[in-house]
Amino acid sequence: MTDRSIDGPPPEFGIKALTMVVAPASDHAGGLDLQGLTDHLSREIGLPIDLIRCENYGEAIEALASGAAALGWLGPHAYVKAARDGHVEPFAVGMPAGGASPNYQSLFVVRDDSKITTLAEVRNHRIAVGDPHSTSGYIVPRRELADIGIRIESESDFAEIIQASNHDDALRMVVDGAVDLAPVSSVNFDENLRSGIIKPGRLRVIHRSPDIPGAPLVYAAALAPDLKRRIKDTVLRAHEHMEIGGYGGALERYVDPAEARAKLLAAYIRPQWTWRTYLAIGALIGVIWLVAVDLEVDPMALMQSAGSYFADIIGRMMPPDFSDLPALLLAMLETVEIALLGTVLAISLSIPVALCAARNTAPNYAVYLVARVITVFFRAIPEFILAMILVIAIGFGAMPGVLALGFHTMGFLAKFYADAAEDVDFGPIDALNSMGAPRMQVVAFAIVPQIVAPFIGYNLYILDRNIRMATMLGIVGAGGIGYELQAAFRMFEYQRVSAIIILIFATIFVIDMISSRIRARFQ
Amino acid sequence: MSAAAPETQAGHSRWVLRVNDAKKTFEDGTPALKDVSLEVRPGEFVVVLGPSGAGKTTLLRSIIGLERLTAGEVWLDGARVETANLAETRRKVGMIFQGFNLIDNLSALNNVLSGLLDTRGNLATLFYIFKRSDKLSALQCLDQVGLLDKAYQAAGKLSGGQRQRVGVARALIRQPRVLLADEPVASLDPMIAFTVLSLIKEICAKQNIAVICNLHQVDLALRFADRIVGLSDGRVLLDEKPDAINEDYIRRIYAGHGQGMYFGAGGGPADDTIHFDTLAPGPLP
Repeated sequence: MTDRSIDGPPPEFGIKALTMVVAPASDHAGGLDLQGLTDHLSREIGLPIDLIRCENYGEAIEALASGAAALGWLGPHAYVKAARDGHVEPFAVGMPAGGASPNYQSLFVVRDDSKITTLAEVRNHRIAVGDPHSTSGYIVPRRELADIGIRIESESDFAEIIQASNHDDALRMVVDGAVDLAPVSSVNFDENLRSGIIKPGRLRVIHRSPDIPGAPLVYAAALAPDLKRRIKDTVLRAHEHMEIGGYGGALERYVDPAEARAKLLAAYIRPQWTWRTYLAIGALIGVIWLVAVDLEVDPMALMQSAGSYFADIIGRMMPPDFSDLPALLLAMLETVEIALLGTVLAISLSIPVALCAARNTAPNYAVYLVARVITVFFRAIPEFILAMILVIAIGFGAMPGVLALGFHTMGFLAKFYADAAEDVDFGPIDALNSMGAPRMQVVAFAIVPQIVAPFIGYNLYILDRNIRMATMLGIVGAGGIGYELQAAFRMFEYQRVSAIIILIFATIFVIDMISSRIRARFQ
Repeated sequence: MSAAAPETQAGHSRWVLRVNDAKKTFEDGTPALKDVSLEVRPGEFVVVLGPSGAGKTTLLRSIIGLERLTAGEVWLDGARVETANLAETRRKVGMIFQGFNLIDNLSALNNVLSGLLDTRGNLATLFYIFKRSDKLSALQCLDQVGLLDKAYQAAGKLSGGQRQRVGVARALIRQPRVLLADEPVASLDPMIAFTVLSLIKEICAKQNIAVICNLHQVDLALRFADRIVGLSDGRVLLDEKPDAINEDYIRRIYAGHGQGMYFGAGGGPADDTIHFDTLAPGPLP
């Protein structure tokens, strides 16, 4: 097919003229200028083309759907609507002069002297909205406002809602003070500034939407395939022969819709990590380095001499001295007993405290606060300190160890239980309440069964940690293997120290195996 | 399109997927597939219909080698699926799951890009960094399922239907020859299930991707399938176009599974019955 056929005979498509309908995105020739292009197209295909500017978007859709019009420009939303019904097909998208993509945005504009600075502040002001089929004047702004809980169609969210007949009209209303703000197309906004209709600095943009794909020129799906091909070919090459125009005034050229879509997609590409991420990582490394310098921690020096340090101490600890095993085992048993009793004490104390420290089981707010303060208080004091005070008060032996562990870990358990109780599923509680079950029975039936598994898990964890901590408590005189360990260190009996460490390790290992078994059974 | 390799099965070009006399018995002796043969053309939408425990999931898992068949063979795109070529087999397959199986804390875009990881196993992707061209194809897939504007939202923040559409996009970015969908709409409400299946059908028809979709909803199967394969107790009971399928067939698929009352045959209260004619293809309300 030749692309130049001005003088050729009119092709026989069985029609004598074509009608092109244009949606009312702009009200002056410069804002939506298709006359030049239609004239060129008319000459090329040898058919007169009647260009009709519609009153509203619906009228333009209807003309194409009914077959009254063969060509059109509808704006993105109306185009999608018409295309979904199968009435129209896109064939060309206009690229703005100097622009890289046919995409545009919906802008919320206010007068420069307006107090409104963010989208959230538009509530209860006067707004001019576009045609309900207008993408940037209605569809996109409606969605963006809905995201922050404002309904564009609701008289109660705005002081006044005025329907503008097009974007230029809406811009004028804002300039003249007829309304406080309007959502408009960036294409019209830029064109009005370029052509001097609106003076620079008169209006301010408070919000810009994500990219909206530039709307295509469409033809009726029912048109003859040859004619469609000819129209598309002519329009895509029109820039070779003339200055072309379209939505937003002068255009660079028309491109295939697939190409325009690719440009829209490209506009959505963002880097995975921004400079902020790299800055944060850099700052973190810097801080860690500074802290290490401040503490005089020198990993290189440690690595260089670590070998000799450890060889020396390990040499002195080998072989372990188990000659006094029965006494060590007895001390170890005492440590485990202290831990066990301490844990039992912690559990029994923590259940009532936890019930008072969970919002959904506490009798009232005052009790809740007191219970929370108790849990924080005992967690805040290390058991080491508690044990030292208790040793002074009641003297050496297992008793201060049991009490120190019991009260300190009560603080932990009460917090764990209370949090677990607050996280329970409220459905069963509602069900029992609806049937009038007494308060404590609701706890027993609807809450306790739900927290049994974490309850067991926490208790085993606390027992495990209490055994480890109980070995340490011996050092301050609270009984058990810790006392033996301390004594061995004091006497420089490093082989006995290693024997005790191995014993502690073996004990904790066995306890860990047992608690895994128990835990598995309850989960 | 597949290039015909000389050593492949005769006439393979008509079939993108072929299952021959597949049998699968689990190690504990449970038979899952007793005798299944199946052929799928490029671009065809095949629904595997059957009650729970019929072997639908085992069949799909066997196709991509997640289960090893006890006997029988699977041919995909002209090559026999074997342990040695599992990687190539999986490269040609996209999978959609009942529970979506998205990574909730990653963006929709990165979820889609995860569909490319088998061929992008480099250091950069460990830090979620992909080439521009890969990002463009991921955006294109999201655009196809209508979620371009949600590209940078965390998958976990999307609605169920949107999440499954991300799942579809993740399968599509692999440019698969075959799409396997295991109960893709079982956790979606009926309207959204309809939309998601329409989308899968439309895109796969356009791109000539064969779909094998496990379903248990008879109405959806009748509406979307080019062909329905009825699976019951590890055997193919029927393999027909939807318009050849009547109530009697459906009863046979579900016979003895206590699911017959779905059609009013199980002695349930009269209000529970759904009559077969209401399930026939027709306009959606």
